[in-house]
Amino acid sequence: MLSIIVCEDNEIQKKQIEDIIKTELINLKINLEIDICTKDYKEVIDYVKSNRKKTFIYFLDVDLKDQISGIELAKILRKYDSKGYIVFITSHSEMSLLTFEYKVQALDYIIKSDLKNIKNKVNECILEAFNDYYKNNTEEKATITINFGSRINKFYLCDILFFETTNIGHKLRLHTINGQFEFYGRLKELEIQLNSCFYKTHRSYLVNIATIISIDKKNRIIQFVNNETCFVSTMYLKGLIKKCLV
Amino acid sequence: MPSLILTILYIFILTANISNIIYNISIIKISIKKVLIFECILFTISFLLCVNKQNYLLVPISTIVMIIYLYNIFKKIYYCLAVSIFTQLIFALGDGITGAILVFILKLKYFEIMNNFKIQLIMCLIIFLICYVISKGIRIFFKRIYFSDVLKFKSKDTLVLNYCLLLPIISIFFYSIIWKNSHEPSNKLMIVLNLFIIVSFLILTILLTKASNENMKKNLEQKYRDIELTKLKEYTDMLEYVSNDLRCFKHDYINILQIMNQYLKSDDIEGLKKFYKFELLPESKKILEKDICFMLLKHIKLNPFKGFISSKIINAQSKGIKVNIGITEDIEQLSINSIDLCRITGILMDNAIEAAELCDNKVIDFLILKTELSITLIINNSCSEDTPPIHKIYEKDFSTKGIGRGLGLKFVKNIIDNKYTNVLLNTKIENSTFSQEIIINNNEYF
Repeated sequence: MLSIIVCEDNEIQKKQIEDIIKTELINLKINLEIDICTKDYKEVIDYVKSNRKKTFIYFLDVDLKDQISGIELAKILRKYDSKGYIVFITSHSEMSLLTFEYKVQALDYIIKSDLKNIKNKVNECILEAFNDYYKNNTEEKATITINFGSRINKFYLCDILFFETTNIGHKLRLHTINGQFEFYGRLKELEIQLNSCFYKTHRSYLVNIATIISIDKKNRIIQFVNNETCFVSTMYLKGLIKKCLV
Repeated sequence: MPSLILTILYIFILTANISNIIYNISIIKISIKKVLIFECILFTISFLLCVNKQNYLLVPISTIVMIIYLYNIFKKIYYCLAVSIFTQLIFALGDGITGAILVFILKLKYFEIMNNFKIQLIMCLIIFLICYVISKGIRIFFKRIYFSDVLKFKSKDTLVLNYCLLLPIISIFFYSIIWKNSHEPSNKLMIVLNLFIIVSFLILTILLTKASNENMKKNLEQKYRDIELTKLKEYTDMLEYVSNDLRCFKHDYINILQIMNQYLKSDDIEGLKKFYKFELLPESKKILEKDICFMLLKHIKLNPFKGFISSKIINAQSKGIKVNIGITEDIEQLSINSIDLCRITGILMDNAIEAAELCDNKVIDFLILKTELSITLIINNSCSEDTPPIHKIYEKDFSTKGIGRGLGLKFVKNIIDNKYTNVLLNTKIENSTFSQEIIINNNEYF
């Protein structure tokens, strides 16, 4: 279930946003409800705590006049609702969306300016959250969660090419189709954690078989879908080919 | 025949000794394969010399071979000279100590040593051991005083130092050759003198190198400080510009209040509405769009880094790139050497600027996020759709000709891999955005 929560401490603006959301919901012909519209952040937390099964779209003011800011509130809410969609409303134009995105995976932020702009933005956010919610619920892709220390990221297994050890102990490098990521861990533990799609082709490589496009048996080089390459040792070559052919 | 085998063994140990010393004292890492090749070359040359009874040429020729070979690898003439001289010095020291041990402790006669091949062989092995210990010790000593950065820095000072070293060592060579040939050195005094000269010379060179090293360090620091100062100057100029804007805004604000006051006084609500709609709203939009993100750099409390970043950002803006900055917490301390930090961010920013310049929507995002455990630096830039995949950019010789995009990413990776266990580097390309992220974990949690 998807619903909407608004938290804004200015009475007039609260009313304004509530109205905008209601009219936009009618415009979009989306059947969602505003569960609560309040200026007390505690109420929001309590409500989310008691409705753990629901997913919400949050519209939060960044400068709540209470002890905590909207960002901190969002951090708390993330603990209970990891899938929720957070939209910030603020008058600080110098802050960039990216800060919010990286801190609490915010969906968007709306600058308090003229009405038309707010309307457009609210419309976009609701539509995006709605579409994303139903897309995610219909298709489940296998993922792996990786801890980067400061934050946690999910990777689809189908995007992963291989894991590699570095010359620094416990530091591993993940190669995906789009990029390279470093984190702390052990190849052995990953091997156990991951499903049978992965095969250890070398002392320092753990390869996703699904993303291999060719194996050069003579030179013992594996090529992946994005033309990246890695090595396979003689010891594991036979096993790898067997596994690929199955 | 046995004597030939003994000669081969003798020369082999001697040359292996030299190779080993080079391997140990070279600050720039040298691969074992290259050392082995050098060993082969040196061995062949020394063997030919020995067979032709030209023993006295061994030292100068091996030094020259060493310098030429090392120059081929490193392409740094001062560094090669220094390494070669140190190698010969350590060798001479090992030789001197061994001589002293044999004569004073084992009570052997000098001519006995010279004429008995087996004892010579044992002597060789002892020299080898002593040289190994000394060179290992020097390696540790060098590592501790963090030489590598300074040696990479080219300077006239190193040249002078090298000449200073070269002259006495040549004179020592000649001295020892003349001394060995002129009269039988059965004299114990001579052996002590020999050892004394070499030891004092070694100490002198180490002290000299250290002094010149410190001198260079100071020069470098001075240079960086000057750069830092100019960068900070740019930053203050920018701040002045921003504060000027603010003053203008204040002035406008008072004007607007007065105009509104006029409308209210005359009860002209229609006029006020028009004023609001056609003049105030468009004007306020302009103010909102104005770039004040620069102010966020105030959160960086590390002055060199602040100056550096601001100059990069000014550079980007001058090329028509929109720079978004996101820093919300004060950054006071980073668990990374500040020169390395500037190097790394410099390369990442240059990459971002070069790539963003090429596309229509020129945007760079610069973010610093702080948590209790770590500080994350994120640089995102828009890039054209035909950007090559990440692994291509990481490749050693990668360069898109003329553009130079992605250059140096390999270098960044090397710095991090070799020096820091607490730093993580992540890169990705998604939706025409190139994203580079450095996570610096706080050291105390490691």
